[in-house]
Amino acid sequence: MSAEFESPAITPIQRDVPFVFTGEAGEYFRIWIVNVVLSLLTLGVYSAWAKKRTRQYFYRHTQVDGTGFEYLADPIQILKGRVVLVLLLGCLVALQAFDPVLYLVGVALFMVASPALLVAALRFNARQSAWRNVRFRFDAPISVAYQLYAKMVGLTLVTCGFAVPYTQWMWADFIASNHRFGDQPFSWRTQPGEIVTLYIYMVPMMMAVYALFFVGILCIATLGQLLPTILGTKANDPATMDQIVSMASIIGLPLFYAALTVPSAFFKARMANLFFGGMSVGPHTVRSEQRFAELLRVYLGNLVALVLSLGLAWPWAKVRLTAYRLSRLTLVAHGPLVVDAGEGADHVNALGDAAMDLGELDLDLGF
Amino acid sequence: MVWFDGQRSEGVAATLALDANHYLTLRDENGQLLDPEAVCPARLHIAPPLGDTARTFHFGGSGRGESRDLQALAALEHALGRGWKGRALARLESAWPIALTLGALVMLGGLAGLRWGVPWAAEQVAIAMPDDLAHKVGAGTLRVLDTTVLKPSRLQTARKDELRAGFLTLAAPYDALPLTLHFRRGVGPNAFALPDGTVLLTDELVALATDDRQLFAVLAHEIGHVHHRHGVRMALEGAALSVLVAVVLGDATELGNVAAGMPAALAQAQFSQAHEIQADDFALETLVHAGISPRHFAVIMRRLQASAGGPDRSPVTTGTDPEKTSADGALRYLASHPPTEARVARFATWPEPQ
Ligand SMILES: [Zn+2]
Repeated sequence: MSAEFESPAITPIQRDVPFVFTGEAGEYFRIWIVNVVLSLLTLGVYSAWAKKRTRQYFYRHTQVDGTGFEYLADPIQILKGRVVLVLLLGCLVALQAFDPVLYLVGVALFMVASPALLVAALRFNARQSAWRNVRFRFDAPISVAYQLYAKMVGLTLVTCGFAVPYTQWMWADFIASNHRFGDQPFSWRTQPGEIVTLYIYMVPMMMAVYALFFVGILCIATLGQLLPTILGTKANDPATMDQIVSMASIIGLPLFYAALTVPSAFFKARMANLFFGGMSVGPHTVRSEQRFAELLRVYLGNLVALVLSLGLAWPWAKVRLTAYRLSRLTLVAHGPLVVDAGEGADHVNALGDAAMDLGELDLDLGF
Repeated sequence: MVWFDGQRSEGVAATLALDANHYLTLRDENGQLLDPEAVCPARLHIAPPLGDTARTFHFGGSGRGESRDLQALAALEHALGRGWKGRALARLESAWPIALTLGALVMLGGLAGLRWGVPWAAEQVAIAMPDDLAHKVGAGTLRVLDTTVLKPSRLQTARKDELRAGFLTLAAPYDALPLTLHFRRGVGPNAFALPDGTVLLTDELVALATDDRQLFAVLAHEIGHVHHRHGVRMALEGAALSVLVAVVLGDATELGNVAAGMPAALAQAQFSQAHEIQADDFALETLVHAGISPRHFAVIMRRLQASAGGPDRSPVTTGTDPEKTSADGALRYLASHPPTEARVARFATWPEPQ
């Protein structure tokens, strides 16, 4: 019978409240494997409960000021959303098989619906997330999402894609500043220039990796030309050539992939710092201090473990990544962490949520 | 335990007790009742246990309690005679021997399911599908291909008729299939079959062949794809694969995509290779039946491979089956077609009739 919360009277004006992650790879592995088996045995029906348990596991183990977050979604509601979405996607697949023209129409409709689905998913997600029995909210009207979408698409087309850093800022701003925790609105301080700068660093890194890749291919090709002469085999023997190409691909492709995680880790670490670090919740601010080299080590370790374990290390990788990210996240409390729940019930449906789960709508902000 | 009233993010230390008459009371440290509704056990809802995390409970109102005293909560549930489902699940999730056994089973079952289960199920569904439905799959694909990559054939009408006559002879035993031969060009030497019985032959392939019987050998293989409904099966196998990946990885993040991408590509390639072998079996049988030496198939496949100048240079079009030649080597597991040399060996060594 202990009270882990602090009395407002002794709370200093400003204090650091770290995010603490207490999840363990072994514990999550057992939950994950049971989820997988039950989902398979029930032909996917259990996947809604599996989702709830997975989310709840990571939420409960993420603690701020001694209290974990809570994921409140009703699995039945998740299931309903999934059923509708699976039916819709099933129709799309059937159309693809029977009528490619109508299929394209279907895909176009899906794209037109995607801002609405995204907003629905964000609302659902926020509404089902709580801390100390106060829920989060996502308040943006769907019309605003459509206006934003139109602007983003227009800008991208007009600038031939060069506006991507700016449209990404617009989207992140839309998400970050439309959330609420209880009656406390979120706000976002990150400036477009900061994301542009991030891209200015990231793009050359990316290009360097690709350049290395092509230099590698050239070397292999030259070697392939020279090798038969060196080995004294028949020149241009297709079998030898194929062996060389295969061997080079087997070694080269994973290396290339591993090399690509370098700019990716840089981008994701910085992006997370900009996204979370720019956030305020009412008077409180957030600090995110992910480091490129540290995140890269986590990524590469995870990659190696996943490959060597044929995917079974997935729970370990997920826990490790989450633990790292949260270890670098701090809430800077300006005053007591007491928030009123506030008013307002909004329509939430699990359909948008299900769409994100099936990977049809990608909401990857890079964190 | 702590009680959060749902109005403010501020908790009060509280005690939940069950008395001898099976009434609940929820009191703060001073003995004040926190929720007058919190009396009847029927209204109490406790979140199921999950690892060693704190559990929450509520009485249908806005307030929520949270407790780390997992034993006390389990005892309360036990006294009320419920929560057995949650406890059973938690027991399942807490035992390493069970988890490791399940892990091994999922691994083996997954591999077996991918290797035999999914193709078998797809085949059963494809076979059970009514003829006209199965042959409607991919209708309109030709129209899309015509407006995108394919160009009209430049072959003389007489030449087309000649080839069409041979094709009809081959197709004669399968009069239930709505087979039609079409000529196009623009995608290199190739032939492919659509599920509706449309078989496409490119001018480039016609030019590559040194004997019409080589073309008939390829066409026999294409008829095999239509006969075995490979188009439908490929679509079904692909759908089953994405569902499996989604179930296993759940909310896949960037790590999930990496982890899922390779095995999925591998499985898809294996499904496709199995279809090619089945179509080859069909071609062999059909050619022998039509009195054409299967050796012609080996000749044209080798010519195709030589002309492609390397593995996998043919265009890939979803829902159709562009023929591909494929080199042997470490990458063969990821190719849509089995290594050409392995495929043609049995054709090339077919005994010539005396
Ligand atoms: Zn084929």
